Amino acid sequence: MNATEEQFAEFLTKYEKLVYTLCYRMSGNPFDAQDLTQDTFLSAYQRLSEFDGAHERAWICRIATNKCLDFLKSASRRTLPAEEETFLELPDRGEGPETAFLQKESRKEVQRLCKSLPPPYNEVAEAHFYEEKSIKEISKEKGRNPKTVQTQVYRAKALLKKKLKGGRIE
Amino acid sequence: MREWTGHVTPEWLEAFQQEDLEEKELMQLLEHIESCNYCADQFAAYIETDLQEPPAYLHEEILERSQGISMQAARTVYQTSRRMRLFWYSLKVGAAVAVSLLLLFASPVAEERSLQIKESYWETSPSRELGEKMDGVWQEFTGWIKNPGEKEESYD
Repeated sequence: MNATEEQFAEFLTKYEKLVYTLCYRMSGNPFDAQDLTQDTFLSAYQRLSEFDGAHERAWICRIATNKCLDFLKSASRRTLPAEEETFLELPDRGEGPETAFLQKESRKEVQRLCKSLPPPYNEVAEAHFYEEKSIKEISKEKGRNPKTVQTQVYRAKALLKKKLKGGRIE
Repeated sequence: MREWTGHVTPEWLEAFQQEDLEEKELMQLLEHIESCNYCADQFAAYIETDLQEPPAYLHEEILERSQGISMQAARTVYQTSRRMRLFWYSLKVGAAVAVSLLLLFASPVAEERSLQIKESYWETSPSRELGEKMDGVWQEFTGWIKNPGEKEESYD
């Protein structure tokens, strides 16, 4: 790993939770939140060489906000997630046990959605989105090509997003 | 609608947290945060009081993608295009400075030349001849009114 990559890896470790939380709050579901988080950090990676190092946290927050704004402004996402959306809001500050409970409920909902997908996406989705296994781990376990597993994960994510928005999967 | 004072306030952050902002208010808030370091930092500090845990695989996924060939190529293109943009901008500024200097030093010469042209035009202009004739006629007429009996000298 060269100096830029090391710098980026440290940066990612430092701000991943912040960016993910912000993106989750904006999108209302973990799948879009993951995509937005990834887009944010990849955009930051591209611009790392021109960043002067001042106001690091504000810089990454601005990039994340920019991505979330694009997400919200896109035609199919003009409104905030409605109450019917299955994913829960972030809890109030300082209520630790409630946070843990809500996160647990949210994870149960993830599992339910993953199981509802058609094969072969259901098992890949559950392993990745619920059990949080990486693509490498899944491909090793199932004895499948990592590229195949990656494609299945991307398709599963698209199906899950569609389900969240109330669409039917044929 | 809430009053916007130009920067993020605790009231706005609280409303954001409670999902109490109208869509226009949310857009206004986010568009400001996108462009203001101070407010972005305030916003980040607020978000950090209650963080969500991202999935374990996300960190590795992002690192892998950043090191992928397409990302490296995109980064190179971005940096190159930034250098090119700087280069073209410098060229434009340089050209503007050169033209300004040229106009600054060339204008006295141009002014003088323009004056010469104007004078030579006036010397031979038909309007000048007509003007002088009219002048003569008028003077003759006024002279005749003052002294009807006398004949004025011709000015032709």
